[in-house]
Amino acid sequence: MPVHQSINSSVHLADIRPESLKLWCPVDAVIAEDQPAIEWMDLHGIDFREPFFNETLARVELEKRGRVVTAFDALLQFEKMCDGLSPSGFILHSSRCGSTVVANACRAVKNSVVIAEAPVIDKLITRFFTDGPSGSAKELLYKLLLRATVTALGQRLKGDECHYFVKLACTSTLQIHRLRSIWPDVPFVFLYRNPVETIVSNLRSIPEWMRAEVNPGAAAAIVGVDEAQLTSLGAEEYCARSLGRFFASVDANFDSRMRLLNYEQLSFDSLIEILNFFGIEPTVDEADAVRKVSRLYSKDSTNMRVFEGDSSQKRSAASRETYLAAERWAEESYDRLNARVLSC
Amino acid sequence: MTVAPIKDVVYTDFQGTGGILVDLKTKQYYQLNETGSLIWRGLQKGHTVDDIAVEMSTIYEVTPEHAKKSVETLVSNLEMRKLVSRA
Repeated sequence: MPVHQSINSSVHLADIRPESLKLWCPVDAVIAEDQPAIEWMDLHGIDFREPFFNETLARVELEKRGRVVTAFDALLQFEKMCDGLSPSGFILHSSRCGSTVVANACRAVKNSVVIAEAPVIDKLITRFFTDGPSGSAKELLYKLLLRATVTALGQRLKGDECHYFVKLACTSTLQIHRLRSIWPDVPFVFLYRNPVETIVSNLRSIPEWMRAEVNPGAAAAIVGVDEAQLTSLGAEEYCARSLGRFFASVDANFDSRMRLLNYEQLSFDSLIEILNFFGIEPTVDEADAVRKVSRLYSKDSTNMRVFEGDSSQKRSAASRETYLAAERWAEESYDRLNARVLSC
Repeated sequence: MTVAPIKDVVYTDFQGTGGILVDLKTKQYYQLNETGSLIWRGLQKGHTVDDIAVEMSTIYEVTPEHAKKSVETLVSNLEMRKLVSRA
């Protein structure tokens, strides 16, 4: 999930009428001819069956579909004429905590669209960290572009879609207040996991959001330190501080349209409960598909690998630094979320 | 005399609390607050400055004179930026 801003001044803007972008989707936010721009791709007839948006794009790119880059206003104009689905629910998470299982359960519902960690959405949300002070025109512009992007991605690309779910990158959790202002009535679910286990997982395979050099400004805002301090942080502390801030952000913005789901509670029953919370009553066949999803490793596109819990293995593999960092920066806000779950 | 938005200016509303005007020719954008949005929507509907001032004074409980001054100030501002024209 890239948190950097693509700079590609050599790309030229197409002068294209918004109505001709029907069934095309925004796939990237870029800079072209020194102005904010949107890259679009012809995605008619496509379903987002892979666990992540970029995996679907990689499949579709083999078909040599059309691509075009327009100025940002084309997206705002397109939103006005686009009859895309409204989101049925947003999936937020603290990373490596089972959110992909939830997305796959949503995908198991017939005629559903699941957009999972689309870079174009992530990039627009990331701009709030560095370039969208509260109350500024830029903040409002990014909110409108984000809303328009989600609307455009909710087009009925196959024609019969009727449920629409959006899974965001973990760092988006820190912008939950802005997301809520854009979608005041849409249900949000937040997945989270024991911070020690999460840190161990992230250290084994460092995600892009933990690579401060990619976008130091955003990284500093995510971790909650000055840019100058970033280089002095160990990976454990970097991750633990971020997790603590994710949990705290959810705790501070918790409302009745939000559900919390700890990784430890993930089960067939809890997946069905989440679907119910999103307004879906699964049919028998759909419930069977959800049951299958709950037993498989979520990030395996082949649907062959069986899921095996690894909490105890991760905890025993954790270093002393990991335990100390988790305790200092994340445990308190993690416990607060658990307390909320118990009181609900 | 009526004031009308320029054809190449697009307004996008945000939850009725404000919005963004984009000049498609220059790609410059401008933020409108809640009352600015009300004025812009009135201009889009072809309402006169007086009509919009009456609507504003009703909604925000300000005097008609105060409302008219606010509308005229914004219209002048928009006109200066070539976002509206008088006919």
